[in-house]
Amino acid sequence: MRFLRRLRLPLFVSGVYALLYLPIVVLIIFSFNGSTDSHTWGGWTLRWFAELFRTPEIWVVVKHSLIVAFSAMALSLVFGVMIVCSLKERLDRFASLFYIPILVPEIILAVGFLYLFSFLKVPLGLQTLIVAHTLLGLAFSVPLLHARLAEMNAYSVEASLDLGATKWQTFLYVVLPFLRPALVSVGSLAWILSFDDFLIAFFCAGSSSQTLPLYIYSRVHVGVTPVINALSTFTLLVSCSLVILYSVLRVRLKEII
Amino acid sequence: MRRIKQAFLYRLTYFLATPAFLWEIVFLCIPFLFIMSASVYLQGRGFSLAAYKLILTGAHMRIIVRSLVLALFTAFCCLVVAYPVAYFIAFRARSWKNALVLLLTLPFWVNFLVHVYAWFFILERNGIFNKILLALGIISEPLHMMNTLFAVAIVMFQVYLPFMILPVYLFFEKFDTRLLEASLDLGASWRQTFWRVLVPLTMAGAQLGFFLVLGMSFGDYVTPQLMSGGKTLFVGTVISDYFIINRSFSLGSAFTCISAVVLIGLMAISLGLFKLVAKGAK
Amino acid sequence: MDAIRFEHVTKRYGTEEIITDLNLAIPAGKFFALLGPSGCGKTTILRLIGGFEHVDSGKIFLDNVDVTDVPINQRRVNTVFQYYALFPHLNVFDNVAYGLRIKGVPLPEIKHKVIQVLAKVHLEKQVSKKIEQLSGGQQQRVALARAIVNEPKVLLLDEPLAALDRNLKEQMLVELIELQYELKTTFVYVTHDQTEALAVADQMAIMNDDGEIEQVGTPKEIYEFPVSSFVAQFVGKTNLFKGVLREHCGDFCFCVEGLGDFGVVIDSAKMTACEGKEALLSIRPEKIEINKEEQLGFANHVCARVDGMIYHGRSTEYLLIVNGRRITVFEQNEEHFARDAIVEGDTVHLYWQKENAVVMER
Repeated sequence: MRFLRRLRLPLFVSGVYALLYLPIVVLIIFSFNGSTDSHTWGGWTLRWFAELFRTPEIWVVVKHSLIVAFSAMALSLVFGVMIVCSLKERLDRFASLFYIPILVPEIILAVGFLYLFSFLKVPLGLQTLIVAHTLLGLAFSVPLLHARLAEMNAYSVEASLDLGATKWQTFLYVVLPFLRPALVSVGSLAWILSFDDFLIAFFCAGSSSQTLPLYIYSRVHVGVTPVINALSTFTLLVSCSLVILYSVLRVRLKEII
Repeated sequence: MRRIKQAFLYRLTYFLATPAFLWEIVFLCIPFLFIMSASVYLQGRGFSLAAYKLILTGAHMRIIVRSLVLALFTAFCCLVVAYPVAYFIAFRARSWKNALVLLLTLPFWVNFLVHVYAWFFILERNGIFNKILLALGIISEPLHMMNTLFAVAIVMFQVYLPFMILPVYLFFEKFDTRLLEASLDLGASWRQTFWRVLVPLTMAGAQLGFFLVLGMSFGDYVTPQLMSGGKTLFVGTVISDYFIINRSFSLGSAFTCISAVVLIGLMAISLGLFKLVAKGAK
Repeated sequence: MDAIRFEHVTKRYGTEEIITDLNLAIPAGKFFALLGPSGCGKTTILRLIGGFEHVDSGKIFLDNVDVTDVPINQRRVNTVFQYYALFPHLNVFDNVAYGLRIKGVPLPEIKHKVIQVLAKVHLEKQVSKKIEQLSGGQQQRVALARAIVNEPKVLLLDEPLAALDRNLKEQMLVELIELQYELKTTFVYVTHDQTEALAVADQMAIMNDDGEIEQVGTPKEIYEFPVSSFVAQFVGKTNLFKGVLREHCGDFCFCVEGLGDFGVVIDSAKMTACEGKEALLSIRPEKIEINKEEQLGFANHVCARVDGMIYHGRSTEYLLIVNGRRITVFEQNEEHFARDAIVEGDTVHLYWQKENAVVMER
């Protein structure tokens, strides 16, 4: 009887995870669905994947999304590092303010961007999207990098200078490596936020440059083929392999060193 | 020469900080100003509060309240579920810990839109959920779940849950378990230890997650749009309608401002409630 | 009466046995110290008493009541943790009042008790301060107050002074002794620092690296009459010589090769245990007299050369060599300007009384 009581929590947690993955699992299974009618099961097939690779428009929007995501990530990381390393403790009071863009409902931000860009008469496109996503990226970049930098032992910098390194070398060889875990997590967060973003793209991307979420949204309204499912399964596969690759590389590197 | 270099280096620090600050000011503060000014400026009539009057007296407030209630409900459910899950991962999972955290972040890699769209498959009349229930004989007719408030609620809950679990878990990780031992040593039961020691010290994570989910679900456009078929109106759908379909900018801006104020008010109240809980722990 | 009794207690971590078949009795109302090197298992014993760990076999008794399966929060035992474990979200008053609030003690009584106990640890003025505003020593006292305000049967202290600097440590030691004397509660004090243990304990136990208790006794017994070389070397410094114990017409002597035969005082039990076998002779450095000239009236005598000297302020430590063997001697610096002072390189005479040496089997 006591044994069953101890199972309560693990069962609950498994249930929660099952709920979290329910749509994903459904999605993956249906990407192999043989029939075009999404409601009936028509046997296993890979034709949707084949069609996925044959549809050029999908890859165009994927390319757009990737460009935006990587640029926004790079910009938020670079600007974040710049402000965090230059202001250091003086940033203490302001760091939390940077969180505002993610606490505010995205739609308000999107409307604001629309106003700004039309006022400045800037044509909407990938660039405006990158600018907007960088703002979101900075919302994570500044507070989290600041918190990480605060954990660094101040004496490390002094030791490096004492041993003859210049400030720039100290930055490269001491500060940056220390920031690395935070850079990785902030970078991934900013990247995913940008790649995944629908609302801001909806308002600010303009007609010429569609991103992946916009494309998917347009298809949802028109008529969906499991190609979308196939695409999602594909992205999931890619991200899983990236994660596995990353952890394997880390272990291998440790063994070598 | 050296003095010039020193002065330059001194300026350099502030120069490095500029891009980030600039970004915030130009792309966050100024747009806010725009929205606020657009809400009080009517074309042709100049400064006017007519937009506000219309919003505050019309059916709009009902929409705001509806979105509020939904957001609160979602955030609260997420909080209640997230705490045991985070507790389990942080303290009970042992060898499973890293895998569980990883599994928590994987769903982010699947597009938000696709997530919502997948729920179609599950909740439709001839969707999976109904098919299973029919097959098991629990119901005789398929349930009507799509295009209901229920559908919106459950999708929101599922989609925003990881956003609540992660911050809460983060603060659980930082928690010093020796404090639990100390509390037990002083005679407290597990339940008392939970409320008097664990909750107050992990509250910051719960607050962060709560506000995150609150903000995201309040202004959500996609989920209500897709899940309720556009029939029921929420803040997100209304704002986008005003700007994209109707193009009535002043009304849209006024509505946006009012919604923002309401949301901030709600957050302030929630913050006060959190502080109350922390005080009650003493 | 015993406050705590361990009967055949065994504790394992994975496959490793930390404590094997331990039998220990801790007397009530006294200051008991558990001394041993780091990692020997003394903290494990403390955690077993507190209930933070469960025994793999055996029983634990508190006041003759079997508490082996009683959970932490139901034992009348409180702990002062090594890292204090103060609640950061509560101020000093709330921290100390925690245990009382849990029990549902009415507020006026809580106030009275907390102020009273804070006065005992000299912290009356810091009542409403936050924990982070306190120094290490003050935090330590809050941890102490928080534990004793609950009037436990036994107070467990897990190396409480480890994080304090030397002067503060000495001050706190005195305060702890006075506190225990006043409260008459059983204190169980775990440490690896022998100075602390010797200073506070009424009764102490020495543990070795294998988790076994080598000796239990008063500090004086342990210091003056160690039962093994481990105890002799762990508590204080000593000179150890290997040799054989022999009897000559009623007189006992300990024969060390290359050094000489030394008279010892020994009881018959030990004699029977050690006769003929190789044993050890232990002489504490302060028990040896050092002199430039020959003296009369001492049973044991060795000539040695001064190889080095270390100045300790109160005393001087002489490092001597004889026949390739090292001997250490402590001398009090009794005079400002000693006449005829000993310097390095001198050949000196070492003497000790036969009652001052201890023979041990291992």
